[in-house]
Amino acid sequence: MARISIYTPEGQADAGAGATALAPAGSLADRRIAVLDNGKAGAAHLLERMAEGLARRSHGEYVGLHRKGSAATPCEADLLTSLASSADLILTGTAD
Amino acid sequence: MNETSSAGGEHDTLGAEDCVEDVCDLPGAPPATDRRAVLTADFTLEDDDPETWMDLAEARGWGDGLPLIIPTPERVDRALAALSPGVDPDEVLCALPPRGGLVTRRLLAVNAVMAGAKPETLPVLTTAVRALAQPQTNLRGVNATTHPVAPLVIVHGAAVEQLGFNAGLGTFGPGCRANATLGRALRLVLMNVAGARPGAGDASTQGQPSKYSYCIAENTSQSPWESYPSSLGLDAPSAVTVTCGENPHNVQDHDGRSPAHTLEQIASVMTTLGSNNAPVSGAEWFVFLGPEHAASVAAGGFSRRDVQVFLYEKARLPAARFRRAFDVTQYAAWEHALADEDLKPIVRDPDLIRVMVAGGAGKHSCVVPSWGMTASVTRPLAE
Repeated sequence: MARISIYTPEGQADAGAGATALAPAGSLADRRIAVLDNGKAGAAHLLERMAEGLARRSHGEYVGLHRKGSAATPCEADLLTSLASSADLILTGTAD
Repeated sequence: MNETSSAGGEHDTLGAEDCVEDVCDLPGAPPATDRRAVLTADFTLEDDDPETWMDLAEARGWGDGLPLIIPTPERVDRALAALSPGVDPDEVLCALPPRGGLVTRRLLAVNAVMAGAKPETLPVLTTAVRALAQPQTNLRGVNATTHPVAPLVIVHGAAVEQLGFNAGLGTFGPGCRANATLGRALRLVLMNVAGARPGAGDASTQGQPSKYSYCIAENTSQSPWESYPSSLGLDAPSAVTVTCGENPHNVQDHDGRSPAHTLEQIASVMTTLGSNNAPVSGAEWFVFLGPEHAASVAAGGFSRRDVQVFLYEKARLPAARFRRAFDVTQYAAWEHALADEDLKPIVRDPDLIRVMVAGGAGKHSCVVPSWGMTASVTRPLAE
């Protein structure tokens, strides 16, 4: 049984497609908390209750819910830009 | 680019009119082709025992669970040997989500070897992958969704016979190496390069058998109409279509009462409320007529366009049925305007019903509903 060289099947990944590091969380006191609803059934209800509870416990402010165009597609760039300027923390989810 | 793309539908947001623009405007265009990603055979396997290789592949998550061919440099070189002079095997052709895996011809050859594909079918895999990388397929969603969607590869034209694809009896089934291994190679690319492994990269609740292999060929020789690519205005000797959909939904009609009766049977299969397409009026449907059904329908005077329009007219349910089944808050204006008793079409445009002939003898056809928020792509065969 001889040692052999082989290719591996994964190749390289686009460096830009990797995970993005989150900003340091720090204290949520006086921070603006928003929800990005992915459009799935029940997501808005669950995420809003979470955001409201988080704001209450951390003395932050719940500033509202925004819904992306479709659960099946990435969030619109202009909505992300708007959210980035209007909230310090965004709660969202994926799938069901 | 001589390429055609159809309109896609909206998935979970229930049939809004602007779904075509939604899928066609998605980000994700392939990167510029002046990039290279050189892959070398730098992994050492302790011995050439197939069991050793299989254990390694299983441990690394490189396969689909079935036996794999060892991707040695010699085998990969054989797969690349047919490339025309000057074609760069290390050119980056596209990036596949969610992992962002950079696709090169060499990497496709590695996965094709593992799947058992013959070297000469590599251009079909290359064309299919480049088609899937187009934004309108919404591959990120296709790979990541809880729905069981799988890309279906359809081979058209001269390549069918030249490369040994089966367009006839059992085209969706086992027994033909080209169909089986090409579809499997694409799945390995999606798992290994795109990262669509069950779990983080592929959240499909139950999966579906077509996630192992999903490749057929158009039976042009037994079609009463021009080839599917020709009907789209695509002038090429060979072509490849990719559509992301469910498993085939069978339609049997043995009675032979009339062509209209056969088409009504198909319409009845299209009006299932359990399909992802049901709440998405802008989604695509692929209708694969068996040759016998196609012959009788054509003998009854139906053109391909007539079939599309007939199915559009017949595949309808009362609007109240849709409203009971789905949240209607994002319906388009015309859907809101319907009275409960009005018949609402399952698909809003006959052009979204894609018709071609596939399979062999027998009184069966099938329907492949899409995932919804995705559009098919047809491209000329290219290396």
